[in-house]
Amino acid sequence: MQKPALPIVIIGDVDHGKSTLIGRLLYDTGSLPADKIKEIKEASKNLGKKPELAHLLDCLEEERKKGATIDTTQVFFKINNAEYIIIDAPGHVEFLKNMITGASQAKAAIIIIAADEGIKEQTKRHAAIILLLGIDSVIAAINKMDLVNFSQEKYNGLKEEAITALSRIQIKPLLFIPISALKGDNALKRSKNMPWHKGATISEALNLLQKKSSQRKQTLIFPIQDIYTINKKKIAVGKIESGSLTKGQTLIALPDKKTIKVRSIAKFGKKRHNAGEGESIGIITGGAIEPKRGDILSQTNEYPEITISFRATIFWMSEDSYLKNNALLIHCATQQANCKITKIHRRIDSATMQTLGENAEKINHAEIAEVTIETQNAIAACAFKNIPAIGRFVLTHEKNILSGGIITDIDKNKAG
Amino acid sequence: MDRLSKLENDSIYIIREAYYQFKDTAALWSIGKDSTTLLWLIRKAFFGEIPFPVIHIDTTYKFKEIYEFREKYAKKWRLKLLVCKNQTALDNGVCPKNGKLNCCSELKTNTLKQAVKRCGLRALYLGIRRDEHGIRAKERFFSPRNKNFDWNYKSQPPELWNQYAAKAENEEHMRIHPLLSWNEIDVWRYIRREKIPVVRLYLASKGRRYRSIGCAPCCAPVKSGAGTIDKIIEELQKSKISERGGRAQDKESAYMMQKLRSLGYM
Repeated sequence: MQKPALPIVIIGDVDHGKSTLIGRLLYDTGSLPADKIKEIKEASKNLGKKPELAHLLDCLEEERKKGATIDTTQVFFKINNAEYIIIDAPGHVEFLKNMITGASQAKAAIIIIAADEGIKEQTKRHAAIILLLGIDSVIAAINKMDLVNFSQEKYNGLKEEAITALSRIQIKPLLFIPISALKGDNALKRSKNMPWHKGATISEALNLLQKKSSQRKQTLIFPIQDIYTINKKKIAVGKIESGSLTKGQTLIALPDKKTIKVRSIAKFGKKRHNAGEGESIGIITGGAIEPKRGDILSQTNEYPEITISFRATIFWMSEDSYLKNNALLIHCATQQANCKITKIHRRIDSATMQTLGENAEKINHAEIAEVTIETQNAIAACAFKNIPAIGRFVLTHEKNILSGGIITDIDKNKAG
Repeated sequence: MDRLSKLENDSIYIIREAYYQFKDTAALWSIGKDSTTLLWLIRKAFFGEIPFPVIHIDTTYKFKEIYEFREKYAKKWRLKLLVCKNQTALDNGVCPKNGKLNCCSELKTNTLKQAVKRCGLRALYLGIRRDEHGIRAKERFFSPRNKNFDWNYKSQPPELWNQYAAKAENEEHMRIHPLLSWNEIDVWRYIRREKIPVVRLYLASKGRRYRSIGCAPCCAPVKSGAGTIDKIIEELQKSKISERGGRAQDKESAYMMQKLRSLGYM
């Protein structure tokens, strides 16, 4: 059976070669149609530039003229039958929300560091964000080795520097790889210019990430999306985020903690006996209550906590600052509740991870913050590391997504 | 879970999420393989019956096989079909011969604008995919358009995990893209697995077939001996020419697709 493709985000500073590496992988794996190559050549000629691998992805006119990525892109390719989706994310700070949009879909990351510049602020900021998004499978590539004469000494120096800088933000790459995306060294093919590198190539590292992509927890989390009336029967629909359910099983509906019984499972008209993780299904229920949008169905013997207060780490994407206690709406799985941030324990510079202030009154654009969030009504929630589906959330105001974050601790004294 | 099942389940999640947020909605059906696959997924999401209208933007220049297919399956799937034309533009002689960009924008974009306004639509389901064109790879699952259909690709709302922005102001509508993560070959494999009917122009006849279908004057067939879905899949595994290679509007200038899209083209 064909495995779903592994989504990987590539992060790094402006002009460190993210798009070039992706172009290189597409080119070397033969994933590029001939007419696309021709189109790139013509577009480059019109701009008076040499054809660039990066142009394969930077297809907005502004992106090619400036030579920089503006919005996130996804491309798909195969190496030895394993499939990958590579997410290219913009490096510029003003496109942070586009970077986060791309990175939130990833399960692993490649950090690119240009050999002639070393690790930069923006690289650290991106690394901090992917850690916040819960991505812990990371590999680091030192790019543009051709600009430093493929020097092993230079590489070792840069690697040490990167290890120190990344460890300050709690990131430990699984592997370091010296590459030249432009020339193709150690991307798909082993470099002849760097015989001293005995470790993995990018292609071998991708294979490792594919194998490492982890298994999730088995607690049943079935968030209800909607209720449809089909042939006069009410069907509660949603996608099972984790675990499984069986016809006849008694479930608990959160946050009300009422039990309901699964009378039948409907999937696209077919009757099913059971359903598992990742399946979009419908169920017909009996019991004390009828499920509604926002309910989280779980097992009666093991279910997540109900709370009106928790600690979280958030990143503030909106350009407008947030003032403590201002009204927000939290969206966690299909749950929605009025809420406010009642404490800003720590404001953090997302580039250096240094503390900007404690017990603060406001949070500014592109800052990370450790906060306490209080909701008006109880919700089912969990620390992200235990159950990702109800451990991550976005905060909105007037239907704009202002911030995203992950739950670090549930406040046990304020259980709902 | 295998790749096709994951794509199917994720698309159904997006379709249901959009319908929860927007009830004044419709699906665009070009009658091509992608939007037919989209209808298939929408039917599954709602257990067989699509609860909103299905719009065909009819330039009147479509292949006759497309019209035949439309009539047959609109009836079979009990679709609330709305056929929309820009009669004024047609009467004024707009046609591919008198300028392709103008023809696309009058007969497709403006027809759709009129339909959105007339029906008061707040959301539209479209079967576009990221791998079709570089510019489409920049799309979001939920992508807002203003009243002029402008796509503000420089400042799109963030989309995290499976949380989608639902902002559509008075004069705006949301484009919903449930097939964004699918590739051309996924669509064909899914068509094979589900036995979804497709217009027969996709299948080779006399050594040629269409990989992408739209208006007859602007679509060119490719050389192909693929007369069955199996053969198409086999052919795509080896192909070095991109899917829209036969589509004129992608070629006139390098950024024509970007311009068309930012003007509201599908």
